[in-house]
Amino acid sequence: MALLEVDGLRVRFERSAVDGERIRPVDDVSLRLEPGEALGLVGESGSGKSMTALALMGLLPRGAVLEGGSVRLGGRELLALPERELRRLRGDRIAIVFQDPSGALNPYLPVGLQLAEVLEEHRGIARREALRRSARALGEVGIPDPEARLAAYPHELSGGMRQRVAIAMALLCEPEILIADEPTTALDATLQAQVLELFAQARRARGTALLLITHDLGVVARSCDRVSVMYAGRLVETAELREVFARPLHPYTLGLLESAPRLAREGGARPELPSIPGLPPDLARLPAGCAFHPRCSFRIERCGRERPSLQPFMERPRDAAGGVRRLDGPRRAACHEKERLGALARPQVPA
Amino acid sequence: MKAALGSGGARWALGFLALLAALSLLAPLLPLPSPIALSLRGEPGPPVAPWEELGGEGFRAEYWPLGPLDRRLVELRRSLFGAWQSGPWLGTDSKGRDLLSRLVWGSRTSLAVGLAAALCSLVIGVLYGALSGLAGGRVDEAMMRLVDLLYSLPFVFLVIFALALLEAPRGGWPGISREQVLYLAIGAVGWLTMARVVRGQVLSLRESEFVKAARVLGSSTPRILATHVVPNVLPVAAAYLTLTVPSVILLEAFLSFLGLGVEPPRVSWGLLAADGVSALNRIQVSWWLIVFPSAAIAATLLALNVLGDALRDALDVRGRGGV
Amino acid sequence: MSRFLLRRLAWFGVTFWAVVTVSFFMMRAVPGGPFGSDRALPAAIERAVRARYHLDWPLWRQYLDYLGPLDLSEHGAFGTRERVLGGVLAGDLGPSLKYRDFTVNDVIAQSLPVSMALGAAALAWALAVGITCGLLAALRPGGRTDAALRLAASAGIALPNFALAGLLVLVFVYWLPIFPVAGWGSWRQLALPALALGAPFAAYAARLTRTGMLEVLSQDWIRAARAKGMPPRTIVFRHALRGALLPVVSWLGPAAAGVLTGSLVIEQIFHVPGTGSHFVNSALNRDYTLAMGVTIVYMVLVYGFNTLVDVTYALLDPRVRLGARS
Repeated sequence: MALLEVDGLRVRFERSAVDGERIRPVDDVSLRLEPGEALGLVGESGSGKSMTALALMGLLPRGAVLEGGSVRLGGRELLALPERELRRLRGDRIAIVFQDPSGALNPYLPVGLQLAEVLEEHRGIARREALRRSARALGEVGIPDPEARLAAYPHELSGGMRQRVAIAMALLCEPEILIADEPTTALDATLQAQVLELFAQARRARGTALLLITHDLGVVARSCDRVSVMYAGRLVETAELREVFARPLHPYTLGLLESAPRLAREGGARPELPSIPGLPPDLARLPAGCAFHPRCSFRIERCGRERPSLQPFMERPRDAAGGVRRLDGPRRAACHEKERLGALARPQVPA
Repeated sequence: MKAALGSGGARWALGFLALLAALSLLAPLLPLPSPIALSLRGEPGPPVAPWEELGGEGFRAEYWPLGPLDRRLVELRRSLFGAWQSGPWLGTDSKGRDLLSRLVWGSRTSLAVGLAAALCSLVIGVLYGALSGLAGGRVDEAMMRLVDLLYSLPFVFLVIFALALLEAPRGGWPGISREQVLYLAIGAVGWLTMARVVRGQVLSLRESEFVKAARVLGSSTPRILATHVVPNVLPVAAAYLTLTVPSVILLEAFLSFLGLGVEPPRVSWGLLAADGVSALNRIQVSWWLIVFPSAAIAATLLALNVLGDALRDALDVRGRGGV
Repeated sequence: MSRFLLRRLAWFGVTFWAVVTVSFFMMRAVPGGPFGSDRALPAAIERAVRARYHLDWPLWRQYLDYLGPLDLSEHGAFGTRERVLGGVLAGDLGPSLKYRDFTVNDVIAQSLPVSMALGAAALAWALAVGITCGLLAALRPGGRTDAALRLAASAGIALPNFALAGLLVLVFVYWLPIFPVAGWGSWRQLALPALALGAPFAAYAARLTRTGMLEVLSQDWIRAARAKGMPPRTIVFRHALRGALLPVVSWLGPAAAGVLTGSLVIEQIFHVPGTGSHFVNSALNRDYTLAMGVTIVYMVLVYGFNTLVDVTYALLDPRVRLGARS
């Protein structure tokens, strides 16, 4: 039994789209997270990754409605829990760090209070002790002179510091799962590295599992053990990190890897930046069958008719010594042509 | 904008206001008693329901001096209805004057004051705000400082002050009618907010593509003002206008209560409400003299507010996205 | 902060001077004088009375005397003064021209506390009820409570306060004789005037609170607070309330001015011996000094209140730096 098990999660928007079609930002998504592991949830903007995270925590915005599925934390079904129980879990056993560091902190309250209240609420600690521990937490994320910082207001801190504060806030109660929603997008490269290091540190020190939501494959490569790829609200591939990078089974994943900018290789700089042809999907007007097929170079006739489901790609598991390698469930991809992709080693996109 | 009016509340409001405007304009045509004809009754008469007394003969065409169009309408009315007039459906006041008639005729004054003064503040406000926004820099700052200064003055107070002074106990100001002073004074109070709003709008318009393009092409400032800025500012200004009119009507009512508003024999809602309030005494509780004028004012202002809110909401959605 | 206050003070000085000067000359420019209205006095007596109040001096001299940068009078209205600074700048608002035995300071000292008590009562209940209703409406937007409250608020704004006063008197004095009709001195006499005076403010406060609260609740950091597992009560009172009340605070400044103006009418209806009635009457009676005095007091109050509001705003919102107005 995994730490977090998500099965068939579906979310729809209440207001119908133009033609009466329901918009589903999250359409039959399944995930699995083991204690202490890091899962990267990858996709472009609008693919539904953030909405999935919000749905997990029961924080769907107004207008978005849970349609079905199951989310189990340590075997306990979350979607059926009353709000009061969910509140106990939030910030305590499962915490989230949002993308915009300014968006996570209340501009009218001093930083120390925002940290201390988490401890007061979940652990029943008195204010003074809570503040002391908050200062320590700030120190652990690398904020200099933490005691003085407690009285500061968010606008007095730099963007990078605010993000650290947000991370400290999330880790205060030593959650089992930390969800990070695009934690590096708003930061520059140096800060990105520091933030990722903080996550790694938390994982090492406390065995926190990490659900890292991002569109940046570089971030994934540095921090994650496994990867799940989303497109148009649907899960299209899930596999171990190495496998995804070495041999993607879904054309979209392949496209993502190909379109990541790279520095000059043998023979000089690449003349063009390859990209996935076509436009990002309009959730109100999804094509029949596979959502990606209009942009796909591997498509066959079946792709326009029949929506592919997430199917295991069986392979003889092996490791260096020839023994059975334990996979976290078989590799899965939602593509009718995954076998063809699987047969190629780092296939090139056909012209 | 049509979409905003689709909401039920706004539709009712618009319908109500249209009806009101129609009644107001057609007042001389309606078979109502004269609003100023006095009777010998010494005390106010209670309302009599239409089914008890629909009306009777006895119409006397007494009015304050009317314009030519209105006079024609009165003649038309006479040929249509003869000497018939409606009964005291809403009651009469202490001088025997019919309240319904006075309410209808009074709507003319109140609405006219509201519109005229609001237009006054619109014109001044839009011009001032647009100029300030377009000019930018020091000039803009200075102009806005002036607005701030005027804002902090107890302006309404000073208006009341000025009007009280102009209420010369003997003689009067030759040349300027009370009404005109009223329009100007009230308009002078209202333009400040309009100026601020318009300036804000103009500031964001300035940075927009087409204004920059016009500048590059060498258009002069007045031209830019006329062809680009004003048409884009008008929707916002219109929305605020529908919110200025209520406050102007309230101000007029206020002033009438203090005796500084419209002068008898002319009639306005504010005057009617004021009369109603002062007519209250222990012996004769003439509730109709307060309730009906209050209801008229409240309903109209409510309708204007609803309409204004709907307009503002509609504009917000557009405005947030782009220009 | 102190620089801000100093600048405010300077600005106030300018405004003050402008208002005093404009009012002064405006009043005297208008036909009609303080002593002609009640009964025509024999010419000689009128001249003597005018001389007593220095109304025969040239205007500029009257102006300076009133304002008081130099004490120009050989003897003041009530005896000899030997100070350098007289007039308004010394706090002496002069004698009332209408109420012969009283100085303007006397009249104001008697009536102002009454008006302030009435105004304070009106604002107190308006804020208490208005903010609470606004909060309730915001926490269940689109519900029945919300719709009902919004309707009540719109009605509160749409009715002139004297009409409301009339209706209140109608209902609570004549039909259900609970309250006395007029006068001042007891709690029961305070109730209706304060109710009528405060009603439009309650309506505005409710609307502003509702909008402010809805705006704040849609912010990202509220979502983040919920994600921390904070209970609703903490979120509303600790996280959201401050931001939601900011629009109310900035509105309070001009609102105070409105309370003072509104009291003009309410005091008349309920026969409350406050400063409001003096305002209109003094202008009608051409009681120059009293009219000026009341205007000055009013202006000081409005200005003071506005400044207080600005300071409060800065205290509530740590991002605001005083003086950086845009």
